[in-house]
Amino acid sequence: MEWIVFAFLASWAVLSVMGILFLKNPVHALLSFVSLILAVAGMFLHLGAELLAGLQLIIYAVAIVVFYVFVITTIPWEKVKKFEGFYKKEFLFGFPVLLVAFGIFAYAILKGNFAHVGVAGQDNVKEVGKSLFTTYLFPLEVASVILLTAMIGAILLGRKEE
Amino acid sequence: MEGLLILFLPLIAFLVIGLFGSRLGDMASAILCVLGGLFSFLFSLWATTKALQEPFSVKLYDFLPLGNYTLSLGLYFDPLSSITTSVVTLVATLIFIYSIGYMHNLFGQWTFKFYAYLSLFLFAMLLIVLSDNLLGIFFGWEGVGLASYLLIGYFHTQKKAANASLEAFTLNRIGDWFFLFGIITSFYLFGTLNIVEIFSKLSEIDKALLGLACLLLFGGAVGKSGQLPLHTWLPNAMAGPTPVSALLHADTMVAAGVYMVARLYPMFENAPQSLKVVAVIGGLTALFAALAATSHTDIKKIIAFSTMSQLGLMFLALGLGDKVAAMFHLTTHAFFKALLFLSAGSIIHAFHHHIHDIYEAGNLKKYMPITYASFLVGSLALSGIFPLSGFWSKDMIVATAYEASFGWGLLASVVSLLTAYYIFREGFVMFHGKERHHGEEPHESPGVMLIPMVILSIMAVVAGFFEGWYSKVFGAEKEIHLNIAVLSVAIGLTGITIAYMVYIKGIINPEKAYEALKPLHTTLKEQFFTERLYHKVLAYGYLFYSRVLYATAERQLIDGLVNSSYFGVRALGGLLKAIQAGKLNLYILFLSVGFLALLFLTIFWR
Amino acid sequence: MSIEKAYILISIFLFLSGLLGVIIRKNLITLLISTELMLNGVNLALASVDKMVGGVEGQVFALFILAVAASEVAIGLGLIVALFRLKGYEGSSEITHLRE
Repeated sequence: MEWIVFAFLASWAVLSVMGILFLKNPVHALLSFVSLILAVAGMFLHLGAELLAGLQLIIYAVAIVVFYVFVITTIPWEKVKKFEGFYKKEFLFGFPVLLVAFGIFAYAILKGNFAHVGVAGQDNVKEVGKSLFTTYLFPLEVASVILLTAMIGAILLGRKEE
Repeated sequence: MEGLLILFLPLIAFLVIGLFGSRLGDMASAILCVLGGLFSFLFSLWATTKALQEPFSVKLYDFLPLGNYTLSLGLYFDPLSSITTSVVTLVATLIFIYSIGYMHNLFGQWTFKFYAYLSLFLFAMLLIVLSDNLLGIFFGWEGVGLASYLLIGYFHTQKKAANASLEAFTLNRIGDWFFLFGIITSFYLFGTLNIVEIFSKLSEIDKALLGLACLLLFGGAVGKSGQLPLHTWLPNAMAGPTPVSALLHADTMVAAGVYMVARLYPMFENAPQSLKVVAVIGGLTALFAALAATSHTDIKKIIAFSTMSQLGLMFLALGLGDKVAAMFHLTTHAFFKALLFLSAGSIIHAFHHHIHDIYEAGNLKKYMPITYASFLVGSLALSGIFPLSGFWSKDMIVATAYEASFGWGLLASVVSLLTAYYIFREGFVMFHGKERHHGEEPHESPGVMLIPMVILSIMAVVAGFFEGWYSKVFGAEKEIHLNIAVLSVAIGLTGITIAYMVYIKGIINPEKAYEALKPLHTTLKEQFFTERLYHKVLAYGYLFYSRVLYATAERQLIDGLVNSSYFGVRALGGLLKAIQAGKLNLYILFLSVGFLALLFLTIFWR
Repeated sequence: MSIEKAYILISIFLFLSGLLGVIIRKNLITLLISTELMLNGVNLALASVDKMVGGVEGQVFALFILAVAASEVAIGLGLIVALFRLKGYEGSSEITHLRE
C-alpha cells in the first residue's frame, strides 16, 4: 500500500518537474509548479508531517504562486514570450553532469547506513509546535525578522524611481 | 662638526640648487655653488691647522653591521687628506667663480643644473679625499664618475659630447670594477675596510695576496686617472665645458687615482712588486701622452694630454717610492694646470665658443694681455722653469727617477723636454704669429673670469716655495740636487727654444715638417692608434656582435618563440573566453561540475 | 530499501532538476520557479529523514526554509521587476554584466 501511494506521488512529481523544466510558456511552467506543490504536500502527508503539508499548501500554493502570477501580469506579455523555452546547449552539457551527480547521490544513499529508525510521536502538529516555540524560539524570531526585511526590500525594489 | 661641514656644504648646495634651482635662477645657483665651495675651503683650512698637529677622525654613522664587524663611515683628517682637501676646495672655488663668467651666455637655459652637478662633484671628491675607509672612497669614486658623466655630457645636444660622456663612463666603469674587486680582496685579507686599521695589520698579510689587492686597487686608479690602457676617455672628455675640464679632468677627479694610491701607500710599500707595475704604467703614460700632445692641434686636447702625461709622472714617482714628490706635484699641478685650462677657456670664450683648433687663433697677445700672461705663467710652471712651482715639484720627481735608475731619469727628462715643447708650441701659435681670426675681434674676458686666473697665477708662482714645509710635514726631508735642477731647467729651456725657433722664427716650416713626417705624425696624433683600436675594433666589434645576436638570437629565436606562443595563448584564450561569457547559467553549470568533483572525492576517495 | 530512502531519492531528483532548471531556463521567472523546486526538494529530504529517525527537528527546519523561500520569492520578484523597469529585459542570457 505504501509503495503504491509512493509510486503515484512520485510519478506525479516527476511529471510536474518535466513540465516546469520543459514547458515553453512561463504560465504553464507555473501551473506545473502548483501541481508539484500539491504532489509534495501529499508526500509530506504520507511521511507524517501534517503541519508541514498544510503550511506547504498555504504558503506555496496560495502566497507564493499568487506572487508569481501578479508579477507576470505586470510585465508586458511580449517581453515574457521573448524568452520562452530553454537553452539547448546548456541542456546538453548540464544534463549529463547532473545525471552523474544523481547517480553518485543515489549510490551514497542506497549503500549508506542511516541512523536507527525511531518511532514518531503521535500528534505531529503538537510536537512540531512545541519544539518550535520552546527549543527553536530564537530562530523563529530571526525568521520573522528575515521575513520583515524581505518585505521592506521587496517594497524598496518594486517602487518607482522618482 | 666643522669636519662634517667641509664635506656636506657642497652636498647641501647640490640639493638646494638641484631642487629649487629653477626658482632661484641661474645666477643665484652659481653664487650658492661658489659659497658652498668657499666655506668648505675655509673650514678645510681650519681642519688643516688642526690635523697638522694631531690627526683626528670624525665618525659619521654605522653603515652596515656585518656579524661581528660593523662597517662604519667616517672622515679621517691627517696632513695628507687635509692639505689635499684645502687644495681641492680652493681650486674648485676659483673655478666655480670662473664658470660664472664662462657660462654666462647660457644663463636662462637651465644652467643651474651645471652648478648642481659641480657641487655634487665637489662633494663626491671630498668624500674620496676625506673618507676613512675604502667603502667611503668607493662611494666618492662612483660619485665623481657620475658627476663627470653628467658634466662631460652637459652639452648633450652635441653628439660628440654625448659620446664622450658615454666613453668616459664606460672606461671608468672598467676601472671601478677593478677597484671594487680590490676593495673586496682587501676586506678578505684584512677583515676591515678602515684605512688606519688596515695599516696596522699590514705585517701579518701574505705578500702575494696583498700585491693582488694593490694591483686591483691600482686598476681603479688607472681608470680614473686616464692612464694606459684606459686613457682614451680623457682627451675626448674635453667636449665638456672648459671649467669642467679644468676642475675634473685636470686637477681633482683624475688626480683622485694618484691620491688614492698615495693614501693607501703603506699597502703598496708592503707589496713592492705592485709598485713596479705602477712605475711602468706611469712612465709609459707620461711618454705616450707627451708624444701625443706634440701633434694635436685642439686647444684643450693638448692640455688634456699634458694632464695625462703629468699624472703619469706622478705615478712614476709613486712607483719609485717617492710619495711626497707625487703629492707635491699633484698640488702644484692642480694650480698651474687649472690656470692653463682657464686661459684656454678664456680664449674659447673670447671667440664665443666657436674655435677649438690652435691654428684658428693667432697674435692674441695684442687682444688678451691678461690671458696671455696667465698662460705664460702656467706654461713656464708646467715646463719646470725656476722659480715657478712646477720647477720644485718636477725636480723632486726627476731627482727620484735618476736616483732609481738612469733609464727612469732619462724618461723623465725626455718627458720634460716634450712638455716644454708642446705647451709653448700651443702658446706661440695662439698668442704670437699672424692674426688668423676672421670677423669679430676677440676681447679680453670679464673680471669674474680674470680674477680666478690671476689668483691661480699667483698660486702657480708661489706654491713651489712651500716645498720644504710640505716635505717636513710628511717627514721626508730631501736635498735639492743642484746638478739635476740645473739639468731640468736647461731641458725645459731647450724645449721652449725649439718651440720658439720653429713657431716664431720659422727655421723649419712646421706644416712641411709634419707633412714630411706624416706617418709618425699620424701615429702620434692617433695616440698610437689605441683610440682607433678601442673604437673601431672593440666598440664596433661589440656592436657588430650585438647586431648579429639581435638579428639571429633575438629576432629569430626569442621573438620567434614569443610570437609563436601567441597562437597557443590565443587558442587558450578563445576557449577561456567562451567560458567567461558572463552568463549566469554557464557559471552555475561550472559550479555544479566542481561540486560534482568534490562529491565524487568525498564519497569514493577512501 | 525502505520507503524513506525512496523519498530521499525523489527529493534529490527534485533538487537536481531545480538546478538543471536554473541552468537551462531562459526566462527569469521560470528560473526563480526552479529555485523553489530546489527548496522543495530539500524540504522533502528533511521530512523523510525526520520520519526515519522519529524526530521533529527536520520539520522545524523545513518551516524555516519555507520562510526563507517566501522572502526569496519576494526579493527575487522585486529584483525582476526592478531589472525589467531599469533595463527593459528579463532574459537570463542578457545579464552579462559579470563580463564587463
